[in-house]
Amino acid sequence: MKGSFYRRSILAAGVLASAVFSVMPFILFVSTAFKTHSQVTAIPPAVWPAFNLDFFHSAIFRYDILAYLRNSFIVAGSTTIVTLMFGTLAGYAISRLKTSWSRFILLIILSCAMFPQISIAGPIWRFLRWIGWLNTFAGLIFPYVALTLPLTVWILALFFREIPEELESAALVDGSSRLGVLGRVILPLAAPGLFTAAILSFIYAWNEFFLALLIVTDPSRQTMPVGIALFQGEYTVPWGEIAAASLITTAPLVILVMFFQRRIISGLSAGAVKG
Amino acid sequence: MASSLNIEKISKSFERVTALKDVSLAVRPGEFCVLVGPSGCGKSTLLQIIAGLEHQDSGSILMDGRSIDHLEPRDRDVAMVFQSYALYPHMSVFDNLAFGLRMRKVPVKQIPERVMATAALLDIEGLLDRKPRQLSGGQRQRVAMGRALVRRPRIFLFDEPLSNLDARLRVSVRVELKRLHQEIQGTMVYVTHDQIEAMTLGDKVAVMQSGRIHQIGTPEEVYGSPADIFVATFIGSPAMNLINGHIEHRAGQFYFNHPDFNMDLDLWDGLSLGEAVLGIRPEDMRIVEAVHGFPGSVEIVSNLGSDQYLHLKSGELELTARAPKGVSFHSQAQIKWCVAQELCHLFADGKRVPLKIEAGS
Amino acid sequence: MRLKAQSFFLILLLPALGILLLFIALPISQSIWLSLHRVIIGLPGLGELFIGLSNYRELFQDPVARHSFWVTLFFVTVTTFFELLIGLFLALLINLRFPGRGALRACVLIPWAIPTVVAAQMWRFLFNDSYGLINYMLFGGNSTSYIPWLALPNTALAAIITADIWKTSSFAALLILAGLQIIPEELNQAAAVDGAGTWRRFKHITLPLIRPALLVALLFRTIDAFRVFDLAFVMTQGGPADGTNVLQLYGYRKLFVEGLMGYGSAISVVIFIIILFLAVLYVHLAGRRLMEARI
Repeated sequence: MKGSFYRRSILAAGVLASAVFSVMPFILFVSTAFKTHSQVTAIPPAVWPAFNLDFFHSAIFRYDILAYLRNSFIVAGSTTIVTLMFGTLAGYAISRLKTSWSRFILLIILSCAMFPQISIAGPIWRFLRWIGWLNTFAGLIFPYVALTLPLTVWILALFFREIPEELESAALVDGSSRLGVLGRVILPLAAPGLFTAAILSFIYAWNEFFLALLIVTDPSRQTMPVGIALFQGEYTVPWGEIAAASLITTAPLVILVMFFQRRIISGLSAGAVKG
Repeated sequence: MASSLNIEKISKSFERVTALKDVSLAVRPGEFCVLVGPSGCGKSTLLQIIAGLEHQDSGSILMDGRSIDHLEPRDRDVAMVFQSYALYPHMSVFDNLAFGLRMRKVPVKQIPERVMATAALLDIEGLLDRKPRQLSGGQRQRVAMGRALVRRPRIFLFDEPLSNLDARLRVSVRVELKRLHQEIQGTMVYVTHDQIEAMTLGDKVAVMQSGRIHQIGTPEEVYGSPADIFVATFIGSPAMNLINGHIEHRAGQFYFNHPDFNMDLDLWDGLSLGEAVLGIRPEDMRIVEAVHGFPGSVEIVSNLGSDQYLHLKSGELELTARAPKGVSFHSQAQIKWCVAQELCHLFADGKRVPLKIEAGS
Repeated sequence: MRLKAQSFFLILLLPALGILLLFIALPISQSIWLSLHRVIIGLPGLGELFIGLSNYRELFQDPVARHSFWVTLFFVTVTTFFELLIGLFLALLINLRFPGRGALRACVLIPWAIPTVVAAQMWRFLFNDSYGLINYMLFGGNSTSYIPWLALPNTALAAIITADIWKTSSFAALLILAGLQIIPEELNQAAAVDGAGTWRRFKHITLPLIRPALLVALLFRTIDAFRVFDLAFVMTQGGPADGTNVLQLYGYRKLFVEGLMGYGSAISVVIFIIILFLAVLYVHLAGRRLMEARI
């Protein structure tokens, strides 16, 4: 960026401040995972940890963090797969139906994302109890699919719309069935959109807390957010272990963000720009 | 392998727009039939209906005498070349060509053979590994044709396949297309708005406008005996000259009357008095130096290299004539012109009035 | 055959619509139904007595509920205001071209990506009254002046507001960034040539053109802010003295802790109506032109 030294230093200050503001609190917190017991509660707060792995040890073996991690993977992974499946079909249908219909249906689907969790949590809980799905993965996965479908359908419908209908006509004349057209022509071309929707759905399901708290009360099935929120020490708050668990749970997300920030941003902005 | 195609009284409307009205057309096996007309005349819609991509409101499509109305596109055994080629961008040229074969479950062993053979026919063997975006317009067009050819369908459909090519390429591809047709003898239905393509490619030409077919015939027929004024002016470039006048009677003789032009009409039968239009093709106008003829002055000379066209003003009439070879004309030159009766086209009530000799045979 | 194609597409919609019906539409209507009844989990013997709007009557007279509403409203207002401001700043920053832009983007995405409960624990740690970093930064080693942030109602609210601002400014930034990236570079260049300085260009060109994006950010943030739960649950459990007892937390407590399904559902319906009202307001303000230009 050209400009005077004055401007550039203002810019640099701004960038630095933003970066620090965004990341510092988090780094300071997770660095606690590497501290020794005494360093945790020390004043002044020890900025540089001792690279002690005690807390990790404790988190994994005493608090069984890895079990929570596994549960989160199962739930978030399954949710992503199912949402993509249903979302692809719905998004494709919406992109090819008559405009007045498709706009209406899309509106309905989008409005489903607006409800406060509590207004659906109670009845969902009752329903799951009734069919015996409380404390099961399925009991979390299906509501999560419902919560991630709106954004997924939105992103995919937008992507599918970009693909010219002539390609589909060509494939139909060449001998493909309608479903075949979806699989052989549309999906390969919409791969970026699928990817973006997958990432966003995964992150949402990974981070979800409210429903997870209510639906799964058996610790062996609980997901990470619940585990972290309910972390109880014997006498004091086990900050070290919490920090270690937080690091473990956010590591996959940070990696995703690092590598796919462009996709994530484009997926999220699909909401802003396109209405 | 090539089939006959019978289009019987097809009608189709979209919302409040009538795209096709009672369109009927018969295409014999191996025939190259061109549907020609201005944009929006319904020709592309008809093609889509034949392919099964659109469904007609009424009427029937028959292939080899059997109705295919209820069949999905994939079951109709037609191949289509689209205006924008519609090549699958994520597949190589080879896969684009092989796609239809795979869909029809052609034995895997046969596929490479057939693809190579078609590629050789179209001279695109070297491009098989590339993706569409790496090809030029002309190359893509050939791949699109290849995709249709490799399937050996019963009917070939072409939707303005040359309109995205530049002018020179268009001419050479036209010739290639004609050669291809002679080689494979397929039944081809070709849609275009370019009457030159229609004339050079078609065994049979159907002139369409506003959802109706105005005339079906050989290129010679639609050129030499246009059925109505629309066909007369649409086919042939520069367009036919039209003179709006009256048929009158004098001394036992019908004649065509216009303030600046008149002509006896003894070559026509069954004439009645009233308004009529006389058509003269530019090449049929004779420019004469002699005393006999109608006076005119040259306004503009269009020199195309091979021919010269003179834009004349003769009284109120504005006419285009092809200049005789070897003579050069300049603007404002005063000339005389005339035309032989048998070369004229007479239209009454918008329709062609046949010459006595035509009516007789 | 047109019919066949249409029905094919409608069938494709069924799985998604089915899930949404079962897990969103149906539960909402059930919540509404429940809110008109007296239902207590754990006391099935009482059955489900229809009591009309008396849950709502009780709700509007409940001092805790009213306090909860004001707390939430305050929360929404303050957080949305700051998040849009900071988000705008971040978006403008990211929109500029400078080396390391990608790194800044990644940094800004981190708060958005981590689970809210992790952020909550993190701020709980930072706001700790004995060894929290915030206290240290404000008062140095002087531990007697340290504020017990989470033990006083007002400061606790400030704490969760801070946490939310940290967490969600980046999301606002992304939404605004999308709007910024649409503005053609030439407009700014033309204005510069015409003699407008940075501030003027911002005020007369950038700001008006990102209005839609700002409105979208405003809408999403406001709706999300009304639904705050995770932060309050983890950081303060709604206390102290209901100082951070936001609406969803209050509803959660009534519904799941005390088992008052009817009453809790009434709370949830009220939240739902508030959000619906906001959405309608937005659509009305932003206009139909936004919707129709897209699809």
